Amino acid sequence: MVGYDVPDRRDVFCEILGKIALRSPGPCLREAGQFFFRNPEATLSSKMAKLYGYDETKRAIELEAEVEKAKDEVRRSSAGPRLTTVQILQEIARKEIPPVRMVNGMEDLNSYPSVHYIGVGDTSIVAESPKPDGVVILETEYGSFAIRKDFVKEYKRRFGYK
Amino acid sequence: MPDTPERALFCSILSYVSGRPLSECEELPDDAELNDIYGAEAVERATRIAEQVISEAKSG
Repeated sequence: MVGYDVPDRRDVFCEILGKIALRSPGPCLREAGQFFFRNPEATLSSKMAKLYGYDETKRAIELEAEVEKAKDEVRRSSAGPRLTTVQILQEIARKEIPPVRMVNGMEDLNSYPSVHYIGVGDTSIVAESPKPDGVVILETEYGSFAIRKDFVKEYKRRFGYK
Repeated sequence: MPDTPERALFCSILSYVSGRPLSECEELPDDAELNDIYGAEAVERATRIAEQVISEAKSG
């Protein structure tokens, strides 16, 4: 990621797998596509399991699932960190919510040509308009979208974020 | 979570779970400050998972 120093799901999975298998996470990071390990059957029959061991890879998938569960629970908790607008948008991108489910908050990106990108991720580019026009931009593998800030507020409210 | 070579794993999990930047974890040795920045629950959950991973790595 550029400009935003948070590991993604693949980073965490490979850190865990490397530790469990007493190996470097490097080969894992090279082998794993962004969503590769989310399909345990494919992962376990892949080069990944040959590199790190079947049992180690299987256990890493289970532990990574615990991390994902902890993330969801912490971010819904009142004791959790306060998330910024950009973090919320990254969360939307990570959850792979298709655009069709975001209809209420979306506008045509072409209506807002003067946007300023502030962060680039593996599958998402999150940006915030420099103008106080109430619009933020979310670019995902599904395409680019301008989202009204009131939708972000609604998203926060709906999913229990502060 | 003491300042050990396993801290990279802990910080990676903590940053991911909380959504907060990784560098703050790596630069702060004081766990009380981590609670302030990342939230006590995130620190607690990340610690538990990291310790589980490390334990299994050592016993495996």
